[in-house]
Amino acid sequence: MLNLAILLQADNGLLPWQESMASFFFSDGMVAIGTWVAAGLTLFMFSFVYKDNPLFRFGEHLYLGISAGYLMSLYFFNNMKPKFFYPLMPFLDAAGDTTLNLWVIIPGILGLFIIFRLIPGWGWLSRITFAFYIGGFTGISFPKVLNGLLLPQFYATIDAIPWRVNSIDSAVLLLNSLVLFIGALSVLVYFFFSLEHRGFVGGVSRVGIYTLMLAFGASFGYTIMARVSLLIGRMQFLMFDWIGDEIVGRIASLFHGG
Amino acid sequence: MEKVQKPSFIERFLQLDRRIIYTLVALAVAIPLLFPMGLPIKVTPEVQSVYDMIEDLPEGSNILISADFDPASMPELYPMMKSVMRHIVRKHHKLAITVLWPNGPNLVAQCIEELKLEYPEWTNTVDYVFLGYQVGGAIVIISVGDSFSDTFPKDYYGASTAEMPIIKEFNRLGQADYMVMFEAGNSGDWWIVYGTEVHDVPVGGGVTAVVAPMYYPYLQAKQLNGIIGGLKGAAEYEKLTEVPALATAAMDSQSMVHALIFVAIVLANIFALMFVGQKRRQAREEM
Repeated sequence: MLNLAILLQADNGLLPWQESMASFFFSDGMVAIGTWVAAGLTLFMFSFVYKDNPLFRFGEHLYLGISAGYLMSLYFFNNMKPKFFYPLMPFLDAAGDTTLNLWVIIPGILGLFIIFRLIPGWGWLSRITFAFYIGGFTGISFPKVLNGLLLPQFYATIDAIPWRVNSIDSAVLLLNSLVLFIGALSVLVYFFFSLEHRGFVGGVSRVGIYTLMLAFGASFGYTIMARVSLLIGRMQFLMFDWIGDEIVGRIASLFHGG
Repeated sequence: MEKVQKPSFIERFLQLDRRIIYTLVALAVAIPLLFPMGLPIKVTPEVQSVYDMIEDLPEGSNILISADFDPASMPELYPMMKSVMRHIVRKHHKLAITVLWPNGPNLVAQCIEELKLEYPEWTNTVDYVFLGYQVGGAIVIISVGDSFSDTFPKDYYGASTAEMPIIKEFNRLGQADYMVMFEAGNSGDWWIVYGTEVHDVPVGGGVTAVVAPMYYPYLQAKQLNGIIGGLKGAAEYEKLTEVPALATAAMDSQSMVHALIFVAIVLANIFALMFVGQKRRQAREEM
């Protein structure tokens, strides 16, 4: 309860003790310690490539715990406090921007119903919230998804085909467009399960499988690129932020003979 | 007693300890960072399109950035976001920044601080507003179609947004002349479906390599005017803005690792085929 009171009081900036803590954590010494901690945790994570070990698991659990705690506090300060507690108890808002609004009790109760999933026998109440949420959002989404996603993508697949070929560029474009058109159509046929995939339909769905494999291959290639980028990011941190530009420069100059 | 046959060279290669490959990958990353080779970076048309759009807009145009990523995607998206923001500052455009991912705001704040060291005249609430994070995803996007200041009553620093000079001119998505979204997931789908398509705002995407294939159909359908894809895209943008930084420095390592992976795949396939041939020959001899 004490924590809740402190969380509710802290508004429009930080409480004095929070300000002191913030200035302490952003001092040069603490930033250096933070870099060492980050480097240590990075090495803990890398240790997994050798084999699973307690250091890796410590780092993994620490990351999950901190993320969950951080998210919870963020949701509380950004949402629960200004959008639920203040309208119910405006006297808590030091800035005095909030007026009493009892309507927030309804979403508050709906939110509480989701937590009831944890209580055996009361879990069914959460279905009311989910039904409200899914129904409402489907209603909002349906026309927007149709106009903003499905139809533009459909038009683009047809529109891309140049019907007159009078240069090499337009011939290449025609080839690309046909590959795209046939690929999209054959994938749709592959996912059409009301017809047995035999004969002509079977042949087209086979083309669909090849198209999907090409797409997955491209996706996998990009995924490798992304993972390598993350590794490079960590290496840059270890080499230049942790070990330091100067030392890395000296090591490099040893090999350059400088 | 049956004699244990020693594995052939092919078998030993195919059973290579994965840790040797990890070590080679680590070296392929670290060595080019120590000894940069300066391999050429070719700018692709989709990155050029984003650059040209920002470059060709008249000075003082309204640009919205949505930084929808967190530290897990920082190595790819942070360098490109910084390059794009630097370009926007140089062109004296007005900039509003939103975040749909809870762990993203601190990265944007860091980027702003770094750019303010380069451009001290760049002023908060006048030249830019950092609206911070708001929970709700697609609902936030629908809401900014009506008003930034209602959706984000306070900015990241806790100041009231309604009275800010920039907000008086630029207070809803439809007033944006261009938008660049930095995406590590599917929030970009929401921006297109619920935001830019509804309000007819041209948009470019800065995306991680993992999600890049998901966004290319939007480029083909002209729902995106350009894509900055992964670290390679970031390096291309750095080249265009003529400020080589982290992404450019990483490109040599990226190329080296890709070459290593390419060689490993080719060798593994050759050895796998040789292994199959060897087994068939053995089977024929035994018959």
